[in-house]
Amino acid sequence: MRKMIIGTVATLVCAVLGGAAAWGVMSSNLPDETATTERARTAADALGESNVYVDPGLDGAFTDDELARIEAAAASSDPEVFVVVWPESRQAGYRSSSEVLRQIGLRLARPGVYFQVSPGSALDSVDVGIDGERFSVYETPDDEWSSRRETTLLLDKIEENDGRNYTLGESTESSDWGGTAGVVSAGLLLGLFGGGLVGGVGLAGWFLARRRRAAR
Amino acid sequence: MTVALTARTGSVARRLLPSATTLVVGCVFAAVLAALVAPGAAATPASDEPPPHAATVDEMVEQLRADPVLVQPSMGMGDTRLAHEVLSQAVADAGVPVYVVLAEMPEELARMERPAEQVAVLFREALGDGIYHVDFLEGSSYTGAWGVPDELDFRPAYIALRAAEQRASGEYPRPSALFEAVLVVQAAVTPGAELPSSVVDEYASQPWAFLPERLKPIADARADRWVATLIVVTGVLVAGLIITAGIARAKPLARGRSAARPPAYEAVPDGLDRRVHKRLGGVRRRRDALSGDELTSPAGERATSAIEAAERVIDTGDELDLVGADVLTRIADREIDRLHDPERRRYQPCFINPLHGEASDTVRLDGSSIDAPVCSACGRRQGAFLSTRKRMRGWEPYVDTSTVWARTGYGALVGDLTEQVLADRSVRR
Ligand SMILES: [Zn+2]
Repeated sequence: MRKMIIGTVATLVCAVLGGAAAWGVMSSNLPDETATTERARTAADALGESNVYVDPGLDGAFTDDELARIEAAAASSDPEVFVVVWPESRQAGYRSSSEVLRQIGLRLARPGVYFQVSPGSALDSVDVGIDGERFSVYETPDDEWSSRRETTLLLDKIEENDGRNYTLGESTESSDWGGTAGVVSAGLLLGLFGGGLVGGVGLAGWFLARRRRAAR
Repeated sequence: MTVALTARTGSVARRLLPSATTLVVGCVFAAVLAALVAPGAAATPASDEPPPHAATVDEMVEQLRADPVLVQPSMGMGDTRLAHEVLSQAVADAGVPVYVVLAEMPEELARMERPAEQVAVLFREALGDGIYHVDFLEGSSYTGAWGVPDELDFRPAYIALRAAEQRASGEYPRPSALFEAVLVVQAAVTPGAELPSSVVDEYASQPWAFLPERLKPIADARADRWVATLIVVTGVLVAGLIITAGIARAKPLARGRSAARPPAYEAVPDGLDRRVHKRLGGVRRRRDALSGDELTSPAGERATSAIEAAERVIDTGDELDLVGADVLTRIADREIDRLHDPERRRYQPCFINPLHGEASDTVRLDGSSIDAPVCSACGRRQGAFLSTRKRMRGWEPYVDTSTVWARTGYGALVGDLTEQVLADRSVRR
């Protein structure tokens, strides 16, 4: 009985310490969400005024009329839409368009859908601060890019987005584990099997060691 | 100056300025503007306001005239001002004019072959001899050198770049355009020599030296953290409970073997008191029967002293003292024997437990470096120490107590037990 109590207490202590250690190690793997690249800052500041930001390098890529239509559709869409028009770059301090779009959304702190439009590159979007039906536009560019066709595509996507179900807050959906239920069941299941294996091996080791000690 | 420039980049200018009149007016206007602005801009190249976006070759030339380093945000690795500063410092060290352009490609070059090379030639025509490093967002870089020493060679920059790439961490480290440009400028600073590795390493350790690795989406990273924590907690719980239950329920090993195992302590047996008194009475009688000569002999005196010491400890009520009285009685008995048989050894008890009887062997004690005299049984297999029961601490081996018995091993460790006991007890009383 005493062994049982000591073992249970030791197990509980180890579980708490191990859990804290795992949490700490995995926390250092979280991407730094406070870092914002220069491009994201510029775009976010501009998006505070208008729902469409056009990089000076792409001045004239869309006509004023096209921009006005996109702007109107983006502002009235629910969830709100923000559009960044700029040449896609790998040399601007972030890896992917979804990373920089998220940086923009976090800095602007307005929940909605953030689009990147880059002539010659894919149209891309991310949800920031909203958790809703899966909505993802990733349209590879046509051979011949034209602002007219891109405007039509963008307006279609904004209309598709308008009125979809969503709640405010970040999605906990993970591509590896699914939602909260997936995370919990994966953790419990793997822990159960792993712990069972370790426990069995450990116990066998204890019996072996005891027999060897007694034989001496 | 401005006129000459416009003439050389004629095709571009013609497209921009529709008529000859505007060309002349524009040129005069630009010349005045350049004269007004250029000195100020040259004096403070690192003004706080970034220059406006240069979308054409002409605009780039104008910016390069004021500042030989042109970095646009799409090429600035997240911090254009820092990139500009790094490049400006490197450029300032060079003995020849060095121009660096990290920018989006002007639309007018889009249909050209090797646009970076073409534009470097245009820059050189406008700005004169020097080194021109041009890297566009879309396309590969070009470095051109005009009117510079022959030994100038940019290969060391690329050798250093490849080496840094191989040393870098990450799955597919790719040097940034900025890193490449910095190394090219460094190669221009030290012509004909390898780049010092300390300089290269210093640059390579900067966050802008390599294109960033793909980050895990935050939701995935958060989910991973939960999964890992849950795995560890459940795993430890399950493993710990299995082991605990297994150990707690494990049957003791084979009965015979565990019975053979000696207990951890040996107690002073009941009834010892009576036996020691009886033995002391016997040895007293033997002593009283000795002749005067025998009494004054060394052995006779030792017997008398041992009896006296035994008398002092026999009735203290302490178990260990009672054992001491037993040993002292045996010592006295042996000394009286030695009067007739001087060859006999003086009495020495078993160190492990004096109640085992006389020592006939020596053994290296477990966890110790002393050889102690022990009885023949303990010589074969060391038994448990004579122990005494303490109220709180359970059983305590006599050697761990602070008594004269622990210090002397009941005479197993010393030859003068009697004297030590007498001294110990005269101090106390
Ligand atoms: Zn013994």
